[in-house]
Amino acid sequence: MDKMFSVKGKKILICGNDSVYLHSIAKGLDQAMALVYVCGPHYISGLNGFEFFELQCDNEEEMLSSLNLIKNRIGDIDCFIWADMQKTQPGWDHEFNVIDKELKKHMLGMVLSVKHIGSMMADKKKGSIVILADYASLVGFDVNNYEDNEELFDKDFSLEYGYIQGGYITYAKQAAGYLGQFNVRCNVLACAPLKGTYPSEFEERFMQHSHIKRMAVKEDVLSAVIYLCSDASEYVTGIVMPVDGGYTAK
Amino acid sequence: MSILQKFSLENKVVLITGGRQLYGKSSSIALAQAKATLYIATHSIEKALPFIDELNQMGGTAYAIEFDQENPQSIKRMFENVISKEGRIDVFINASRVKPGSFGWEQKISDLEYSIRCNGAAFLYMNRLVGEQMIKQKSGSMILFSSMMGLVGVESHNYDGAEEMKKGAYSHDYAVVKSGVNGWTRHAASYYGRYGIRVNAICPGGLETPDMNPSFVKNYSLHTQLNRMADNEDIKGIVVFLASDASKYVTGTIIPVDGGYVGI
Repeated sequence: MDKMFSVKGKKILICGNDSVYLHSIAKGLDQAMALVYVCGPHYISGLNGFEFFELQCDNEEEMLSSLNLIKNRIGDIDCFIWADMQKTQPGWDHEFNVIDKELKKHMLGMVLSVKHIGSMMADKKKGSIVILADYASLVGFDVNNYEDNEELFDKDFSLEYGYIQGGYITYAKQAAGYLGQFNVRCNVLACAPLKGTYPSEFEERFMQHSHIKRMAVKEDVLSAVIYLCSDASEYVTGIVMPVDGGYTAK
Repeated sequence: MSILQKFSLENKVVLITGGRQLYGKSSSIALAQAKATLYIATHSIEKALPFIDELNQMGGTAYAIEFDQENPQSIKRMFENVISKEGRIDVFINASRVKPGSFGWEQKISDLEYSIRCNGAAFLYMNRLVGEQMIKQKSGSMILFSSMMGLVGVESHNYDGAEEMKKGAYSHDYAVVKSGVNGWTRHAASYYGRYGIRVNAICPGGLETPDMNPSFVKNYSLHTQLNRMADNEDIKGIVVFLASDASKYVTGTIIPVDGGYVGI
C-alpha cells in the first residue's frame, strides 16, 4: 500500500508564484522523497535547496526554450503542478486592458504549460498534471462571509477571478481528453482557504457552511497532491477534487 | 396573473450580442415573439436590417445597434446608445463569439491570445458595463452563452468518419473560455444578487446544420439521451424563461440544453 502512494524518486516540477500552497507542497513532496523542482516567472525566496528555473508563462517561444533547458537539466518530468494561487487585481470596475492583462497572465500561462509539458509527457507515455484551483472554481463566494470587511470583499470579488478559476476546470477535462491517449493525466484540486490566511470572522462563517468544522490545513492539500501525483490515481483523470471540508457540497 | 403571462417580455428592454447567427438568431426570434423591445448588436447595421424587418413582421419591436467586440470603445458606445434611447436594460444576452484563425491542440498562441481578448476580456467588460446600469435599476437578468463544452471534454469518437471536423476539436481557447463563462456565472451571481440582478449561463449542445457530416451527426446523437442533435427551436424556451419574470428566483445556474449529452 505504501508503494502505491509513493512519490519517491518522481521528478515533480511545480510552477507558480510565491504562496503558502507552493511552499508547503514543495517541502512536503521533498519530505516524501520526490525530486522537486520549482519554476515560475519570478524567483521564489525561502525555498533554499530547491532548484529554480525561470519560466515566462505568457510567451510561448521563451517558455519552450526554458522547458528544453529544464529537460536537459533534469530529464523527463513525471508530474507537473500548476500552483498559481495568486489573486487577481482587487475590485470589480476594471477597464478592458486590466481585464485582458489579468486573463492572459493567469489563463495563458496555465494553457501553455499544460500544452507543452503535457506534450513532453506524451512522448514517454506517462505523466500526471495537477492544476491547483480555488474552491471558487466550483461555487460563487458567499457575500455573507465578508460582512464588515470591505477590503477582503474587494480582494476576493475581483471581476476576473471567478472566470479564471472556472476556466481551469473544463480546460483540465479537455486536456485530459487529448492527453489520455498518451497515458498522461490531468486533474484539478479545488482548495478551500488555509487556516490562518483569512480573518477569524471569515473562518467562523466559512466553517458554519462546511461539513467538517475546521479550516483546511497544509497537509490536506499536500495529501491530495500526493494522491494525484502517485500511481494510486493512475486511472483518475479529468476530475475536479474539492479539498474543502465539504463546503462546496451544500 | 396567469402563469403563462409571467413568460411575457412585453415592456422589457433586451440587448443581445451575436443575435443574428445560429443559436443567437433563434434566441432573437423567440424574444421578438415574446414581445420584447429588442436591440440586436451587430457589426453591420446594413446587413442586419433584413433580419430586423423579419422580426418586426413577427410582431416584435426590434432595432439594430452597432458594436465591434474587438473594440472596447465600441462596446461602451453600444450600452450608452441603448440606455440613452430606453433609459434601461432589463435583459442582456451575451451570445457573441469571435472565432480565432486556428483550432485544435496545435492552435497558435496568437489565436489563443486573440480569443482570450475577444471572448474573455470583452465578454467580462460587457457584463461589467451592463451590470453598472442594472445596479442603478436594482434589477436585471444577464444570460450568458456558454457551451456543453464548458462542462465536459471532447469525445474523440464523435469525429469517426468525419476527420475534417476533428481538426477543430481540442482547441485550447474554446474550453478555457467557455469554462470561464460558467465559473464567472456563479461568481457574478453572488456579487450581483444583493442588487436583485440575476446571472445565468446556458450550455447548448451541438446544433445540427444542413452541411454537417452525417457520420458526426450520428455519432454525436448516440452520445445524447434524446438521440439527436439540437435544432433551432431547442434554445428558444430557456432564453425566454431566463429573460422573463418566470425565472425571478433563478440565479447562478449553468443550464445544459444538450439533449442529455453531459448526463451520460
